Parts: sequence; C-alpha cells; structure tokens
Amino acid sequence: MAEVDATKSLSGLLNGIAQKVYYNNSEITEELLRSELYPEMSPDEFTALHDKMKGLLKSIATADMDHAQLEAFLTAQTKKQGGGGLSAEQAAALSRFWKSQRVRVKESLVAHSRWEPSLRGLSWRVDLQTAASRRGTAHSGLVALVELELGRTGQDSEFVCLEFDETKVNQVLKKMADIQESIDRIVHST
Amino acid sequence: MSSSHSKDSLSFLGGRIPPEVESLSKNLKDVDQELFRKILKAVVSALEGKDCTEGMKSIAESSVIPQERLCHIVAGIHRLLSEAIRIPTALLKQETFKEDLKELRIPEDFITDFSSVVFGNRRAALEAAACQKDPHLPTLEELKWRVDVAISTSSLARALQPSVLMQMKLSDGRFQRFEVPVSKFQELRYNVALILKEMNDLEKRSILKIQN
Repeated sequence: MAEVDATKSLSGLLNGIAQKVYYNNSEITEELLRSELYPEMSPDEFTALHDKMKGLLKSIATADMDHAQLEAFLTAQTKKQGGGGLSAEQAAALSRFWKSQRVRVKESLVAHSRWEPSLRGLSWRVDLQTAASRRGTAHSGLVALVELELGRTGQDSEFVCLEFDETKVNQVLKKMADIQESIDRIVHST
Repeated sequence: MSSSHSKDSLSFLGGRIPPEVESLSKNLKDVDQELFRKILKAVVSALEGKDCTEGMKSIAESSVIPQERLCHIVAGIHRLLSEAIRIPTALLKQETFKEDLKELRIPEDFITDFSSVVFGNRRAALEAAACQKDPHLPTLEELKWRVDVAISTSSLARALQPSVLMQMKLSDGRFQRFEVPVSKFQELRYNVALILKEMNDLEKRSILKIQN
C-alpha cells in the first residue's frame, strides 16, 4: 500500500514540476507540491527530492531522449553511488512520465524559441455575393472568407481576415502542396 | 413618381430620374457626335478605373461648350452609364434601354453610342471595375514561405523540429508574418482543400441560379 502511495506521489511531483517549468502554470509552487504530496517530509528533504527530479527532467527534456536513450540514462542514474542515486521506483516513474509527456514537453520547449507569432487556428465561410451597391447582381459569385488566428506565446490572439475567390484558393492550395513536399523531404531524410 | 413618365414600366433609372440625367438632352443640344464620343470615351475609361485627367483636360481646352455645361454633361453620362451597368443584362434588355433613353429625348445617334458601351464588349471590363469598388476584405497578393528546421535551441539541445514560416502580402498593403508548426500546417492545408471543394460543390448546385 505504501509503495502505491509513493508511486502516486512521485508521479504527482513530476507532473507538478512539468506544469511549473514547461507549461507555465504559475499556480503550482514547490510549497504546494510538498504540502499536497509529501506532507510528512521535512522542507529540506523535500527540496532535495524536488531539485533532483527537476534536474533529471531537465536533462531528459533538453536532450529530447527517445526510449533507448532514456533507459540508458536511467540505468546509469540508478547505478550511481551515494545520495545522488536513483531508486528503481523513481526510475520507473520518470520513464512512465516521459512516455506520456514527451511530445507535449518538446512542443513547449520549441515554443520557447519561437519569436514570430504562430498560427493558432483558422475559421472560414463561403459566401455567395448576390448584390452590391454598384451592381445589381454579382457575376463572379463565390467568395471564401478566411480568418486566421495568430499569436505569440503568452499573448492574446490577433485576427486577420481575408477574402479569396476560387482561383486564389486554388493557387494557395498548390503552394501548400509545395510546402508539404518540402517538409516530407526533410522529415524522411532525418 | 414623375407624372410626365407615362410608360407602363419604370425607366431603368428608377421612378425619379436623376437631375444630371434629366438635363442631359438639353445640355447635349448642339454637341456634335465627335465631341460626344470624346467625352463618352473619357467617362468610360474613368468607370474602368483608369486615370482620365488628361483626356478631360484636352476636351475642356478644345471645346467651345462652356465649362459648366461640360461638367453637367460629364456628370450625366457618368450617372447614366453607372446606373445601366448596375443592372444585369438579363434584367435590362437593350431595347428597353434604348426606349428609356428616347424617353429622355437623347438624340438617336448618341443612344446608339450609349448602347454599344452598355451592351458591347466593354461590358465585362466595366463590371469588373465596378466590382473592385464593392466593400471587400483584403485579399492575398503574395504568399512567400520557407521551411525551417530548428536544430538546437537554448532550451532544447536536439530540436530537429521543422516549421513553416509564411509571409503574406495583403491587398491593403499590410504584411503578416507567422510561423506554422507542422501539425498546424496540416490543419491549414486540409481546410484550404475543404474550401475549394465546398466552392466547387456549390457551383455545381442550383443555388447559384438565384441570381436571375
């Protein structure tokens, strides 16, 4: 029973650190984690545990370790002599955590070094223009209205609205195919 | 509605004839066809969105008609043509148009000239120019892109993460530059394809026939 609790507390701690360090959740503090997960531990003891886990997570995240690298890394850590060593439970918890959070952590780290606003979303609508002040009826007809949501990390979104006729949509789609092709070339060669 | 208009149907100009059109016949009285054609040509090029300052200037300098009357003529022709172009050809027949002008006591020769502008091969260009003046959202003028792969960053030793940097030039002169992560790019591409499909489907359906 105690072992189950220890595993739970440990994975809680890792998730808490990830919230704080990688997902910018400022509500999570070291003190909160201690009182919620390790109430019986002394602050000094907890700080040591917290900092150790945080350091290990940082090493794993910075290198974006894949499964084999992680196993090798954790094995090396468990074999370490003295106080800095890792228990088998801790190694297992880290391995579980990384398996589920790797993609998200990496995404957040990549975003740290992104300075241009990024595309957050888009919505669109296709309209049929039927009349206008200068013309009784439209002869061209269909118009696509597109709204792009752009924003920098941590900032509010900005919206850009555009209008496309069919020819333009077609041109943009062709460019998208070019871009896709060039992404595929890179992704396949690495 | 003016009582002098005893026709069954309304003129294409509506119930109340605009004053500049109403006075056109009076103002055009001793204008010869050559001058009329010159003015007509200048007005048409203005309606097509071209710069007609030079043309107008030379007309004003060479004509014997007083400046003020010339102004009224230009205004009248401009109004008459823009009202006529507004109405789709399916709704305004050439015959009706000619009848309406006759009603306004515009000389026969000029009616033929007016008619060849409204129903001739200039029509498409005039409609396209009018279309430019409708309220519009900006359109995309240019789209440039670059695919980057982040190799290493301050927080990630081995990033190897592709991303797309896009720069759009809009018709209102603005530039928008933004990064598109690969996952978002897939979403973007999918949606653009969907828009095109939607437009193609709509075109095939009868919904477009509501225009007539």
